[in-house]
Order: sequence, then C-alpha cells, then structure tokens
Amino acid sequence: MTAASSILGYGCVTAAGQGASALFDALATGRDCSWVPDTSRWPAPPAMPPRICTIPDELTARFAQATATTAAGRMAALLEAAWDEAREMSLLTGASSPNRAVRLGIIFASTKGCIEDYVWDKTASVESALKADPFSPIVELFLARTRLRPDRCLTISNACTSAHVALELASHWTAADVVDQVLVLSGDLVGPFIVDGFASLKSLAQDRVTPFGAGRQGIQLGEAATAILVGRGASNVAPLRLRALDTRAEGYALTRSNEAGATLEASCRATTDGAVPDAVIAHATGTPANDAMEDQVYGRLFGMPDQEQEGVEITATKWCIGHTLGASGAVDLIAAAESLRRRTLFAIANTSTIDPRFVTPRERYLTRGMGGARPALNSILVASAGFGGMHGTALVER
Amino acid sequence: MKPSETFVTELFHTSVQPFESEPTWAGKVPRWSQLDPASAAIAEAWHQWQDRGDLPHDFSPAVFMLAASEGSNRSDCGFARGGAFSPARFVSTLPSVNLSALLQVTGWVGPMYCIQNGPLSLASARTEAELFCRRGKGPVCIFGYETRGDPRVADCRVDVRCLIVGHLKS
Repeated sequence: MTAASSILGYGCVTAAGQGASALFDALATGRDCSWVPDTSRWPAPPAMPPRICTIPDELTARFAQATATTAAGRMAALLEAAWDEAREMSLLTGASSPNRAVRLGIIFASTKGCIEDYVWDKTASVESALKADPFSPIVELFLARTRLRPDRCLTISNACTSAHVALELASHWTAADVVDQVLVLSGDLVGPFIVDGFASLKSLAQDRVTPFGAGRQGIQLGEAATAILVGRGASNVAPLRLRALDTRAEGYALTRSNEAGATLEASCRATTDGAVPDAVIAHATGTPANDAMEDQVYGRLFGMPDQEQEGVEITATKWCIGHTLGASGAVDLIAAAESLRRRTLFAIANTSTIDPRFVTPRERYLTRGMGGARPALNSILVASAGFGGMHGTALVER
Repeated sequence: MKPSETFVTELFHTSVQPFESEPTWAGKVPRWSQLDPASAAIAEAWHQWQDRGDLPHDFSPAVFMLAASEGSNRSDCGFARGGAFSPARFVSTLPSVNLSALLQVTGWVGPMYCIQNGPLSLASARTEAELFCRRGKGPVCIFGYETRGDPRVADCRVDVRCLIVGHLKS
C-alpha cells in the first residue's frame, strides 16, 4: 500500500464527451452512452453487433485534425485533450504547471494501446508482428504534441487495474523523491480485437448493462483517455487527496477473481485502514461473476447493521460509459473526484432491481433514481479488478 | 540514496515446449496445457530453480515485476490470425497474465507491476526494483522472457531470465 498524494488536476475524454464535467453530467443524469455500430467493415465482424461506448468521431476530429489516421495518433490526440484539462485545473488549484523547475514523471497505463494499427495486417510477416509495440508510438506522439520532457517515463499494462497500478507507482515515485509530480495517462480504444475477444468469452451484453442487477448479462466496452496529475504542489481550492492506494495480484484464475473476493477485500481493508468510506465506486462490469464477487466483499466490509456502515453507498460508472479497460480505474477516480467536489453521488441508472441472491443489504446500492446531493460526502473508495487476478483500490478524499 | 545499496541475483532457464511430460506444477493450474508458452515457461523455471537449490523453497519476494518486452504479441497475433476466435487465446492477450500461472503455483499474493517499455523493459524494471529496495520494499523479483517458435506448430523455446533485486542491510 502507498499513502497520500495530492490530486493536482485531471481531465478525460469519454463516450460522454470532452471533460470531467461531461462524464459526471452523463452519470448524474442517467445517460447510457452505448450504441450499436456498423461492424460490417471490420476485419472480422462479430457474430452479433455489440453495444459499445465510443468517443464521438467529431470530438476526435476536433483534437486530432488530420493526424489521427491511426489508433496511435487518435489516442495521442485524446490524451493531449485530457492533459490540457488537467493542466488547466492544476493551475486553478495553485499547483505549478510542469515545467523545467518541476521534475515530472509520466506513466502511461493501457491494455491494448494501438493494437488495431497492426494486428490485422496479414501481409506483415509474423516476425514483424511479434516485434510490434502497442504503447511506445502513443507515448512518443503524445510527447511530440505536448512538448513535455519527462524525467522518468514508463508504460504499465496490468490489465483492467492498469490505472490503479500506475497511480500506485506514481505515489511511490513522489514518496521516493525521484520526481515532484507524475502525470498518469491512461487510455484504451474499442476495436474489433477486443470486441471479438470478449465476444469469444461470451462476456458482452446484448442489451443495456445492468451492474448488480438481477438479470445482468455482461459488459459493454468503452473508450477513454484520461490524465491525472498527482504529487506535490500548493493547492488553493478544495484539495483532493489520494489518501491511500493498494494493488495486489492473486493466482486464482485467468479471467476471474476468487469467488469470495478475498484479495479484493484485503486490498479494500489495506486502503481504508479501518475507516469507513462514504461511498464506493465499484468495478461493477455487469458480468455475473464479477458483480457477485464484489457483492460478497462489500457485504463483509459494509453490510453490518451499524450506523457508520449503513451510510456507505455503492455506485458504478460502466453502465454509462462502458468498460474502458486499462483506463477504467482512472475514469472511476475522476468520477469520484467530481462527486466529491460537487458533493453529489450518481446512481447506477440502468439498474432498478438488485440481484436477490446478493448478501449486501440492497439499500446500499444506488439504483435508478437514488442519486443526488450528499452534503457530507468526504471520501470515496474506488475498486478495480482485472484478468490475471489483479485487484486495486484507491481512497479519494476531499 | 546510493546505487550500491542494492544487490542483484540473476537466474536463467530455457523451457522447451511442448513439455515431454506433464510438469510437476500442472495440478495447480487448471487447463495448464492451454497456457501461453511464456506463462508455462515462467512457472517451470521457478520450479526448476527451486529443485536445483538456486531458489529457496520458502523464497517469497515483496514485489513481482514482469518486464514484458515482447508483450503479448504472440498471443495477439495468434488470436487475430488463427481463424475462429479462441477464448483460450484471448485470455493470454494481456502481458500481465503471463505471471498468473506462477501465482497459481506458489499461492503468492501481492503487488505486481507489468512494465512494457519495448526493448528497455528489463532495464526499466530493474531501475524500478532498485527504487523499491532503497525504500525498504524488497526483495523484488523481475521476470523477463523471450519466446522463439510456437508450440502449436513446432518446438518452442522460451528463455526466462529472473533478476532478484534486494537491499543490502548495513
């Protein structure tokens, strides 16, 4: 577990639009950003067209101009837009913008990067495909566009907990005093590769995603690019703190966690250290296995008929902007930050009936219509889980 | 912080696949025969090092790092070019999954960082490991690997390299 660093600024581009406000507004108003694309021109169209949450083309075009003809170019442009927002906020909050006086680290977190740029090219030799690098082209383009010159730069690819792992490493860098601030970038795009992959696992929902719901079917994939600046810096207004972070891997199974959620529970306990958060943004993919596992964990952690625990409310974002894979932890953290700033919680608007088999008292889950102002909202636990037995949690406070 | 405060032990193993017989760790990994070659090689290497006495049976690092210089390219390519999309292939299309079999064999739970900086992955992981150790968060066990061939087509060799980075107590 690593402790305490300040969130100096953040920004994002998601299917909800440009900016953290667009993300929060979609969540708070119950807007499901999914749609069914025309997949007929894909290299390998899936048997059933999926519901996905993509960043609108016109938004990408605005940022990227003519340069985003590749996935790498598109992602770099989206990351730059997210960074512009984060930088502006860091100036507003009083943190000095990264410049030569600030030792800056950059960590890029992603699962598949720009894989769509090369993976379907059957004319390329196997040898060249095996030498492909899905991440470096994105980072290089981002650095060229922004002219940032980091003192330390790394790419993390820890499945869907990549952003949590990157943020943990960022806290480690600042605690070790090798840099003053770390810009954690994360992003993943939706394309045939991951759609066909999740379709092969039969994990995609055909209808709207209903996390923790009685009839939940699976996930919808989403696109996002995020930028979160953490570290040292003066803060003038409503500072947000990443109080603690914890990530851990277990060797239970490749695609799912231990059903009882022992590792996620241990991570939650390490991060909260005995404190009870006001709310939880759950990983909540909408798959039967993930949501049942998380319910077990939250039931044990926050299910007691105790005044403090009764106040804990559980919500989620993936019903709205999709599962953004390596960026999902960062998207959830930004949603948490916006909730804390506004002291308002959003509901899981697609879900009206909680799975009756769940052990957590159902009133803990914020289902449709239950969001709204929470004047005493001060802390949110953000949970994440990923393939290969990865788990991550972060506690955000104002 | 002085660079001399850490020590590094290196271990090597070359795994040839398909295996001639069922590996001794196979019982702990469901559907082990479907594992990506790198995943199987890492689990096998750990077992071999323990058998040879290179690695104490009770060795448990504080942190694992995977220096994924070749990422999951082999699985990515196999999934996209392999005709019918195979769920068994898709679950290996994340580099961090390459450590999952070892974690199943050892029962280890803890922080794991999958670092993918192209050819610089191992050097980057070592730099990070040394930083962890200097902050008293070691030892760190780094795995790197290089795969040649495809066991579904012909013999495949995976060179596994392990760096154990620790802190020298004064």
